[in-house]
Amino acid sequence: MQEFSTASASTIACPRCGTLLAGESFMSAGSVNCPSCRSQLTGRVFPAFWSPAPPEVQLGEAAMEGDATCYFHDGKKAALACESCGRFICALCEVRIGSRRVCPTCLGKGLKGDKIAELVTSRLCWSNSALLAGWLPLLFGVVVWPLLVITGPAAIFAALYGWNKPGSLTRGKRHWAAVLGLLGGIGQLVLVLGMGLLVWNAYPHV
Amino acid sequence: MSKAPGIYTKLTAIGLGSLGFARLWSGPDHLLEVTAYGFSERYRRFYWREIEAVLVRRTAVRLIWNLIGGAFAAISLGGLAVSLHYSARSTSGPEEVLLGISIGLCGLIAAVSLIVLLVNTLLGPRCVCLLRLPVGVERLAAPTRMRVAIRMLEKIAPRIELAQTELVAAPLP
Repeated sequence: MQEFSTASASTIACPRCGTLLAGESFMSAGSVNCPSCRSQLTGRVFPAFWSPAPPEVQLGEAAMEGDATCYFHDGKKAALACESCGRFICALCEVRIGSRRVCPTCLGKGLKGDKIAELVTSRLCWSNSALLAGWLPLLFGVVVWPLLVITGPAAIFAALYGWNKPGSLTRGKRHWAAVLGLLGGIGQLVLVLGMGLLVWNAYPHV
Repeated sequence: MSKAPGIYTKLTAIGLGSLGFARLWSGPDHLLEVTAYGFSERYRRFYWREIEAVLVRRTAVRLIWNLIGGAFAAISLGGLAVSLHYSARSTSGPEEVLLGISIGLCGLIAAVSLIVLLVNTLLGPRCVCLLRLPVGVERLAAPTRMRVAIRMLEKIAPRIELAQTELVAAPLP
């Protein structure tokens, strides 16, 4: 992960050999060759490279008489309202998530309930699962058709259970994929039933 | 409280990353990297205001794949030539069947290798993309082609600069 270090404020280390290159080299368009390993590097530096924002530590102002106070700290002056629940909070309680400011309680709820989009780091895509479980085994399942007894119901379950579950952050719920998966799952069960009947008719003594 | 889909716009086409199929999306205040594993997706966010630098390093991965593809193509074309040479001479019987199988197999491998070689060459040189952040350096799973990476850089640079406008006034070293 750490391929070019942040050793110095105005230099960038070559990702391959670690040679320090001046940040000015990347201010204009075009590529730069590392003088040491000859790696071709293209890049851009941005204002934050030259002036990294110092971390702001705010403990919150003490409340005077008549001031609105923080919901969590009686003695602190309210600095803003939580953008999720509306509670007044002080600067100490303010949690920044992207461009939004929420209180610690909403942050906790968001972490548990997968409710704050900015905090979601992974998601199971039920509609994709249904689609894959519904159609992938059909490509190979004819050879090992008893496998479809498992994958067919799995596809139906994924399609129905995941119908109201949150979908992909970028592509949404994709109900069409769930419907296709459901049809694939039903198709698999029909196929298993048909193959079973064929075997039963061919070998009735078994 | 969750944001509806539609706040993101595609930045790059889907590409094969180191662990899965990865794609970059542009959000209102961040860059979103989505790595898809089929059943699930993994997300990483990089906020515009925190990105200090973007670096793209050209790698030799395309050359390596071309050498592998070229070796396969050369061997299979050699096999095809030998098989065709003997099939012209052969009379009949099981020998002819074996030569037929050999011609078919060598032809298939040669065709696939040449297609891989051609596509890999046309897509352009490979690269790795890195973001320098205040807390360290992150390697992006996508894009892995120079051409796509440069295009992506051109698209995100104005957004990063816009998010860091208040820092522009700071004196340069």
